[in-house]
Amino acid sequence: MNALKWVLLALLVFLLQTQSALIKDYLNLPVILVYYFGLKSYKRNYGQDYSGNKAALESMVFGAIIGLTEDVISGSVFGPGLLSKGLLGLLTPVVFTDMVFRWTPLWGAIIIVIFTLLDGIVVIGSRIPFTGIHVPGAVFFRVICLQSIMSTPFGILLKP
Amino acid sequence: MSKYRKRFIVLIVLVSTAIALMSFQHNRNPFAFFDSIISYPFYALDQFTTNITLTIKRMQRTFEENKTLREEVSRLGLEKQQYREIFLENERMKALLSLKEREPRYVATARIIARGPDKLLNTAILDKGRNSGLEKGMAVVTPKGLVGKVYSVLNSYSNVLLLEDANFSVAVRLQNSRREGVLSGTGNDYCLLKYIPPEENVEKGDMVITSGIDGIFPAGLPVGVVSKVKKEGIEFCQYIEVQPFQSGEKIEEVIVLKQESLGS
Repeated sequence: MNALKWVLLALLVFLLQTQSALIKDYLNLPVILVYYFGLKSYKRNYGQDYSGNKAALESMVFGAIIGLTEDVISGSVFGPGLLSKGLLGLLTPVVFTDMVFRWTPLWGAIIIVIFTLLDGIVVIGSRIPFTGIHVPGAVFFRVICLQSIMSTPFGILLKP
Repeated sequence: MSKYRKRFIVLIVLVSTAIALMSFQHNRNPFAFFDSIISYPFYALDQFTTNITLTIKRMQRTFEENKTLREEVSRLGLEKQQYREIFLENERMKALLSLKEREPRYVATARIIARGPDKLLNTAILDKGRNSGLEKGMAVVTPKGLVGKVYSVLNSYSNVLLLEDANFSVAVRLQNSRREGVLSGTGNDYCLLKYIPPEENVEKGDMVITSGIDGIFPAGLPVGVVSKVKKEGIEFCQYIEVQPFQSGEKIEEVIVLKQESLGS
């Protein structure tokens, strides 16, 4: 039941991300989804395993699947999305176990801004050498900065 | 194994897998088939949502078009109404012009700009006055027939006593029998033809015209038609109701004529 919920949520995220021009430009919903999964996974596994490894692995796999799907939909090479989202999936529980130890709205906002920036850098950074496609720096900077800022409310509202 | 080591291994695996995948596809695309299979549902979904979006956009466009067309229809309706008004005015003006050309006593063409302020009197106000040559007692007519007479004149305006007013009288003649009489207003929408003896044969539908013997109105102007005749129970004169050709409530433009005595 839980898996189905995440599948449906992922479908909704991709539908919105690909269909809405507004969301495409101003939000990176897959990053938010992976971050949310990481938060939930961290909360679910926290009492059982203090190391947080199980949560990290779970959310990394989820992030990798989301990233791979994104790669497939984007029609580009497989890998950049897998790498970036997998990395975010891995980092989300780690951030709240090893770095700040406790979720607060402010930390949530800061983390999601950093994650959005990281995702953009990893995806574009991996695409350039492997596909030869160059993105103008100003455009890239504007898009990821906008997406980071617009993601802030999700960082505040999404709780573990 | 410490948790950091475990995580580091997982990270290395992830990065290596991604780099290996990307490197493998760098020069060729071995996942083309796999790619098409996985991406098909998304493309289908994409097509479906695109169709829905297009339909919504078309509907929105249709609504906007409908709104614009409705506004256009309203505007055209108003324009049509204005054209019809101009056409009718043109018809009236043509009739007035024709009357002006055949009437030697023509003084001015005037427009009725208001009804008289006194509710007890049937009067109207014309937009022409002394400056246009109007004088008290002049006849006011339309191509349909007699309207009334000028009873007060200012420089730019004048007042007309209408045919239906109880104070109005005009010397008339029955067109068929040539019998003379006096037509007086009643304050209602009909007039009374007075001084017609009982032996005179007057029929409903007989036409009444001005006789000209009063020296005010030119002879031969159509006034109205006999609408009711009563002979029973009378001694000296018949009771005859006349329906004026030109109702006072439907006049817009009129022609003012000189008095008969001042005419030629």
